Amino acid sequence: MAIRKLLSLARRPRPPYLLPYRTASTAVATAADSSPAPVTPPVMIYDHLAAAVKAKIKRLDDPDPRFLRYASPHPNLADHSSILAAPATRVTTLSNGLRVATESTLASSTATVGVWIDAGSRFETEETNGTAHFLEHMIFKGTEDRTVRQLEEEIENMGGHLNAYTSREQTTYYAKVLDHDVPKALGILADILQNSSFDEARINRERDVILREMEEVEGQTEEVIFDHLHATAFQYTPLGRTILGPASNIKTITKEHLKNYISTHYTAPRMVISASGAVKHEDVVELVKKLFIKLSTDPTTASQLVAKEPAVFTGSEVRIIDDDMPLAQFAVAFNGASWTDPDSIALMVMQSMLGSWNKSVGGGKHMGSELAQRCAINEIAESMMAFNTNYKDTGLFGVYAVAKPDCLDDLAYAIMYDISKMSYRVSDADVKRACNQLKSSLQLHLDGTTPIAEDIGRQLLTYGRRIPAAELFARIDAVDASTVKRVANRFIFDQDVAIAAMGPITKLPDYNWFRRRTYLLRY
Amino acid sequence: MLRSSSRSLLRKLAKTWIYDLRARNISYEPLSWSQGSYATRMPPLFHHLPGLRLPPPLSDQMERFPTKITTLPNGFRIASEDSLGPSACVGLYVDSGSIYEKDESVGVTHLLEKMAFKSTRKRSHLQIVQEIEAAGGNVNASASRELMAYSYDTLKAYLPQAIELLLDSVINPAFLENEVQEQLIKVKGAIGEMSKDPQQFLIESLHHAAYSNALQNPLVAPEEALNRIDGSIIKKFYHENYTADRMVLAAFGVDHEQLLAIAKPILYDLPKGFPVEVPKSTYVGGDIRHKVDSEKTHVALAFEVPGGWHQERDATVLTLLQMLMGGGGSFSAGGPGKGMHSRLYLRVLNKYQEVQSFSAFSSVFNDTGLFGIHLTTGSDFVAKAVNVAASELLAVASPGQLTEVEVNRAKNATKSAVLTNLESRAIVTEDIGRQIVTYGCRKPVEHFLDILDELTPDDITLMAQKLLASPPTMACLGDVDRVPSYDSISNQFRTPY
Repeated sequence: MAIRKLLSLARRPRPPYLLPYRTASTAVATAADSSPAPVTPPVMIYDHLAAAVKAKIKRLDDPDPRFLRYASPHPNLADHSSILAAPATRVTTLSNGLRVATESTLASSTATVGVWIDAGSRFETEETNGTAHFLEHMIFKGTEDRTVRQLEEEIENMGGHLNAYTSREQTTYYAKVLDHDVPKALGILADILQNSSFDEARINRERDVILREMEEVEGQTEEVIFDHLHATAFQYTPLGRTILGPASNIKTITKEHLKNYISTHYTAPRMVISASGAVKHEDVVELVKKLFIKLSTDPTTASQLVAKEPAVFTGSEVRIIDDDMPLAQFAVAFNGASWTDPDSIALMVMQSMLGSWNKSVGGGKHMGSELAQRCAINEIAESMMAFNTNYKDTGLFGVYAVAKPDCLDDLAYAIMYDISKMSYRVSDADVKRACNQLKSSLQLHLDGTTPIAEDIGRQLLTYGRRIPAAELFARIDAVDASTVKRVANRFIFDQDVAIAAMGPITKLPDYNWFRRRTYLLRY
Repeated sequence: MLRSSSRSLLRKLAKTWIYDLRARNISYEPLSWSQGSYATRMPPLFHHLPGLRLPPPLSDQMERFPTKITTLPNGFRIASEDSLGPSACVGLYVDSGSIYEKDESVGVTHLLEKMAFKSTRKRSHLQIVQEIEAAGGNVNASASRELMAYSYDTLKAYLPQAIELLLDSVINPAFLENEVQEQLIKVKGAIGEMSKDPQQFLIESLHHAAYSNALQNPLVAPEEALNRIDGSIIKKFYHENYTADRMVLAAFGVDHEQLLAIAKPILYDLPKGFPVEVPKSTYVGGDIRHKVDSEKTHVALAFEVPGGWHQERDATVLTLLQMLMGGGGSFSAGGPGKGMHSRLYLRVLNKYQEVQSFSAFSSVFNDTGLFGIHLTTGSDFVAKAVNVAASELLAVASPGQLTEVEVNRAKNATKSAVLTNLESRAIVTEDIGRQIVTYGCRKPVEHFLDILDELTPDDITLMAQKLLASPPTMACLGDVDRVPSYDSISNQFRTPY
C-alpha cells in the first residue's frame, strides 16, 4: 500500500493541490482522452477494450487526498455518545391515571400539544367498526360551548393547526401553535374531547364526507393492499377490520355509538397528554389537572381488552385480479413482533436490510440492499418496500412491491429469496449498515416539535415509558449477524405467510410456492 | 449464613462491576462480546436496559446560536448555525439555475439536478451510494430557476464524511457519458407524466408566457433539449456557473470552526470564475392554452410582483396577501388551521360546489415574481370561475375591503407557518443558504416578523394595486375554449379602483 502511494507520488511531479485546481483535472482528462496509452501496440481486441477501460479509470483516478480523508464506504459503528443527550422527558401521572409527558425546548417559539389515546379501530365490534374514525371526524364539529365556526375561527385566528388521526390501535388529536397559545390549545383539546355535542344533523352530513374519503382511500392502492393484508392475515379477529369501516356501518353509526366509544375507551388511564417545544412541564400539568376533569377513570387497560380478543395470524391470501390495471401490486407478510418484544428491534434492522427502492431513487443499482439491487439491475419492479408494523400482541413483517405483470414471478422469487436468506447467510457488513441506517432514520425523523410530541405519545402508550436515544442506540448496536439469523429463524423460517395481491396478477406464483420459499432445501 | 450472604454480596458486586464496564463501552462497542445471547441481555422494551449509563439530560433552555459567516479569498462563503440536537444538515447552494441557460444549454439545469450525487473524479457512483448508506444519511438535490440546492442530512457523528462527500459531488462531478445518457432516458420517460401533474405544468407554462427572456427558460427540459444535451454541454454550463464566488456552504447544527477545518482545505483553491452578469428578465404577460380532453379545466391567472425578494417589505406584504387569500381544495385532509377561514375559502369554495380547488399562489424571484390564483373546476363552470378569480383579485385591491380581523388572522397564520417551518433542520439550512445567496447576509427571523407586525390592511391593498397594474398572464389546461378570452380578462383590470 505504502509502495503504491510512493509510486503514485513519483508519477506526479507536483502534488496536484499546488496547481490551480480545475486546470489540473482537465489536463489529466485531455491527456487521457488523446493518448493511445500502451507502449507496445495491442494485438488482441481485448487489449483495445482493456486500454479503453484503463483510460476511463485513469480519468477517474485523481488521487487528491483532500477529498478522501474521512468518508468510507464500509459501515462502522460510530461513537454517538456525545450527541445522545436530549432535553429530559418529564412524565407525571395524575390521580385519575392520566399521564402528562413533555420535552421542553424553551428557546423555540412554537409548540405541539396533543392527546394520544390507547384506542383505535381494533377495539370496535363487527357492528361498530368505523366508530373510532367517525369520532375523529365528529370531534371537530362543535361542543356545548363552541360551535364549529367558533372552534375553527379560534384556531385559525391564532394561526394554529388542529389535526387528528386514527389507526388500528391509537387515536391522536394534536394542536400546533405559537408559544403563548399553548393554554388555549389545551383548553380546546379538553373541550372537544369531553364536551363534544355530536349534533344529529352534523353526523348525517359527516357520513357523506367519510364516504367520499373512503372513495379517495380506495384510489390509493397501497392503502387498499394493506387493508386486505390485515383482513386476510388477522381474519376473524378485530385487527383484521379496516379503520374506516364498511360503508353500511358508516351509514348507520349513531350518536349513541360515538358517546359509548368515548366513555369506554377515552379513559384517563389510557390517555397521554404529550407536549414538546415551548412548554413548561409544571404549567402543562397544572392546566391538565384543571381542564381534564370529566374523563372516565375506568381502570380497564387496552392490554386487558386485547387479551380478551387477541389477534391471531392466519397464513392465507387474498387476490383481486383486475387486468385493466396497468401495474400489479402485492404484499407478502409474516407474523411479526409485538411492540415490546425485544426482537422487534432486530426486525427493524432486518426491515432496513431489505430496504426500499423505486425507479427514481438516486442510489439506483448501487443500493446496499441486495433485494433493491436485484430489482434495479433486472428491472423487475417499479417499486419495492419492506415493512414492519407492530401491534400490542403481534405484528406484520414483509415486503410490498409494485411491478409490471410479466415480472411478477421473477420479483416474487427475488423477494422470497432475500427474505429467507436471512435465516442462513447474513453478512456483518450488511447488518452494520442496516443498524446505522436505522439509527439515523429514527433520529433524523425527530425534526420539529410535532414528531417529538408524537414520539413521546406513542412510546408512552406502547412501552409505558420513553426510551432514551442512548438506550435505543445500544439496543440497535447489539444486533449482529447471529441475532438476525436467530430472529429470522423465529419469524421467517418455515412460517406461514399472508399475501394480498391486486391488479393483473395472474402470473403471481401460488400460495404454496411462497410458503415453500420460506426456507431453503439445503442439508 | 454469613458466608453465603457475603458470597451473594460478592456476586452482586461483581455484577455491578461488569455492568459498569459494559456501560463504559456501550456507546462505541456493541454488547455482543459480553455474556449471554441477545435475548437474555435485552429485556422487553418496557424495561430499562440494565447497566446502561445515560448521558445527563440537556437543559430546557437551549439557546439559539448565531449564524457565523466566513468568506474565503476566492469568494466562497461558508455559513453555519450551531445547535445542540443529535443531527445536522449541510447544504451547498449555487447561484445558478435555468435563468443562466442560453441557446444550446436550455434544459441543462434539469439534468444537473438529475446528475447530482453521481460519479465524481474521486468517487464512483457506487462508492457515493455506499458511503451515504454506511452513515444512513439523506441526500437531496433540487433545481430551481435561480438556485441550485444540494443537501445532506445526517447524525452529527458523520459530519466530516457528509461535508466531504457533499463538496466532492458538487465540485468534482465527472458527468460520465453513460450516466448522462441513463438520466436523459429517465427524463424522457417522465415527459409523458408531466401532464399528470397539472399544477406543475401550469406553473411552467405561466413562466413561459409571462417573461420574454431568462425566466422564460423551462425548468423541466423539453424533448428537443433532451435530444441535444450531452455530457459536454452539461460540463460547459457547469464550468461557467459553478464558480467559487457563486457558491455558499450552509450548515445547521455544525460548529463553525469544525466546518471550516474540514471545508477550507478543500475549497481554498477553487477558481473564482469570471464575473457573470445576472440575466435580466422582462415581464410581458400573455396567454398560453393547452387543449386536452378532460372533464376538468385548470387555469392560472397571475400578475407581476415588482421587485421580488430584493424588495423585502413588498415580499413580506405579498406573503401576507397570499395567506390572506388562502384557499385550497374543496376536499382535503386536515383539521382546522388549513385556512378554512381565508378569503378564498369563505367567499369562493364554500359558495360554489363546482370548484374543486381555488388557491392563491406566488412564485417570487430575486428581482421579479408572479402572484395570482390557481383554480381547478369542472369544464362547464370554468368561465364563471375565472371571472370569480378576477373579481377576487380586484376585491383585495379595492380600498376598504379588508377587515382588521382577517388581516390579523392572516398575520398569525403567516407567523406560525414561518416559525413552524423553521423547526426543521433542512429548512433552516436552506434558509441560511438562500439568504446568503440573495442578500449576502442572514437576517434573523425576528426581522421578518417585525416587518409583518407593522403591516396594515392598506399596505395589502396598495400592494394588490401595484400587482394588478401589470398586464395579466394566463395559463390554461383542459377544455380551454370555454375559458374567457385574454382580452376580456385584461379589460376587467383596466378599471380604476
